[in-house]
Amino acid sequence: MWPLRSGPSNANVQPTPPPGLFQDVPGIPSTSTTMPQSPPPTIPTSTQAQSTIPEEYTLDEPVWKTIWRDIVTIARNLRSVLIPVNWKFHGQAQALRNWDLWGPLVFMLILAIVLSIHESNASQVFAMVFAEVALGAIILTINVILLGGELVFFQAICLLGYCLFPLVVAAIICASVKIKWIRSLVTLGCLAWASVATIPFIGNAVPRGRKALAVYPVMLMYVSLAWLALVKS
Amino acid sequence: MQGAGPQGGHNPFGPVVQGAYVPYNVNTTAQFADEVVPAISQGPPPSTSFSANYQGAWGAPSPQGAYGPQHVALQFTDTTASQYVIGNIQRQEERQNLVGLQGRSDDHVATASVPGVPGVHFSQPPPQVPTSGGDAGGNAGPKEDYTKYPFYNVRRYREYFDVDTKDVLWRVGNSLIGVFRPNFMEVTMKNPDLYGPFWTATTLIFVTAVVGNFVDYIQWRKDSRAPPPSPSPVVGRLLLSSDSELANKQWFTDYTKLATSAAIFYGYIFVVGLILFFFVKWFKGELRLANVFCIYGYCLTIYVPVSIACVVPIDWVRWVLVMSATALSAGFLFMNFRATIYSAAPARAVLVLLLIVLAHIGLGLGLKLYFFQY
Repeated sequence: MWPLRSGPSNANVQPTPPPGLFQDVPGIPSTSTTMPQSPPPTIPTSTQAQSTIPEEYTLDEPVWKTIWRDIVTIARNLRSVLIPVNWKFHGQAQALRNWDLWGPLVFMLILAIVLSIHESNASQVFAMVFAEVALGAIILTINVILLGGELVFFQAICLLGYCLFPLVVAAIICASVKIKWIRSLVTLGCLAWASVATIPFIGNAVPRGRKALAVYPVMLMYVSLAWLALVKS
Repeated sequence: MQGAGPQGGHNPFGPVVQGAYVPYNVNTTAQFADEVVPAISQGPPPSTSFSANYQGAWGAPSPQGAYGPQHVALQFTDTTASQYVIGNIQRQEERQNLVGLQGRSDDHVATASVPGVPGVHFSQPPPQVPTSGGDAGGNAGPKEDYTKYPFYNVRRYREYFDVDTKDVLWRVGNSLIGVFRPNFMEVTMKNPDLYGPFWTATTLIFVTAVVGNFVDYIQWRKDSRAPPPSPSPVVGRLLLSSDSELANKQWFTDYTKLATSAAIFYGYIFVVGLILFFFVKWFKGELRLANVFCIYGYCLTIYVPVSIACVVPIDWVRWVLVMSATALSAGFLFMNFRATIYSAAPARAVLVLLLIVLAHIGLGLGLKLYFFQY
């Protein structure tokens, strides 16, 4: 029986379910519905007529609302990563404190699809891009940790994924425009944009004197993806 | 540490009034946070007059076990005497490793290169300062002990990535021109890194693929501008169109080529290196596996500019470039392994060194014929 939101009148009609049945299990990282600000929903243990469900309970909300919340999170993270404004002023002290992996997944898929459209061996291209981005993000994060940096693993993967967005833009433009110099210009611009977004984060994560060592592999990955966009037929 | 100036420092405000200023005793050898600031207030410090307790920079140890006999009481004064700590803690691995670490343990007890810090005044020589002056560790102090992490923790392998940018650049430069004065092995003996091998191989895979694609594209553009003479116009046009389609494809259509290049570069560094390491171990040599990987990895860096330079369409130029690069890097390997192999197996040293060089020449030939044959 679904728990009802309204108050005492319904409690007489149906018994409330036993407490704890719908509680969030602690410790499972939920990347699908991230609700970092609200406490996990709990059912009040009392079975009195006055029991109400708190507002943050999301299991019976409409589907579009769930998706909308994720879209808002993606947009907010995208804005804080890619637009180099001091967002502290706007109330977000640390970029990507609420990391999520939906954004990186969406961007990686869009990039792989755009780069493999109209190719003769589309599945190969798709697999290459997918593998490169996925493995690349993991290996780059491990590289930063090995060089002595301390960063949260998934937060770094999240950031690297979000910084793919300029390359997605470049890939889309390169796929639709055939003129070489426009392609080159756009690709270079988007490469610079992605670098400006990533380098401060990666560079400050490692000890001083090793910044170039951590940044170089990131540049290698971005340049290879930009190259793929540039030479797309 | 050499303290200059009058004993105990010169107080520009005149003699200290009893109890007016309580210096804050900071325990800098503390292991835990609560030792730095003692939990219980200590009351007046043992002495607030400068001349009474301190006979020279290394006077009597601080009395009344306020911190225990093994602790050092650091007393910050407001002296303006030119007391500064002499010592140099930055990484001097390139020179100090050659000199050796043995004779330096007594000289570098002062381990902060902060000139001109006023009033840092040791009242007792620190009990045991690790030889961080000669250590090839990080900038901040003795090397972190990485074995405290379990084997599945990435941080445990940080010791193989303990290099700064300038070290990596030096190693790359040495691998290019170090044939003439080979000191790579001595310098990196204590601090091999795996950053170079891994990222050199990855860069090579990427660069050979991109340059190969680029040269194909140039070739296609040249062909499409000036179509080759054909026996019959119809056949010629058909050939040209299929050729242009073929040539304009992306480089990883040749997926096998990408896999082969990965196998070649990673395999050369890690598999051939492993074989050499086992050989040296068989003869009770004293070479670490990381050292072997390090040298093999950095010796491949010369092929990055060579593969970019092989864009020129003249074949003999490419041969000259590749063969000279192979000669340089083979010489680099030879000169750096010579000492170790001779000390490990003097009888067969010549044979082993010859095998190393031959393997490298084989790699150079293979690269030319497979990759740089655009």
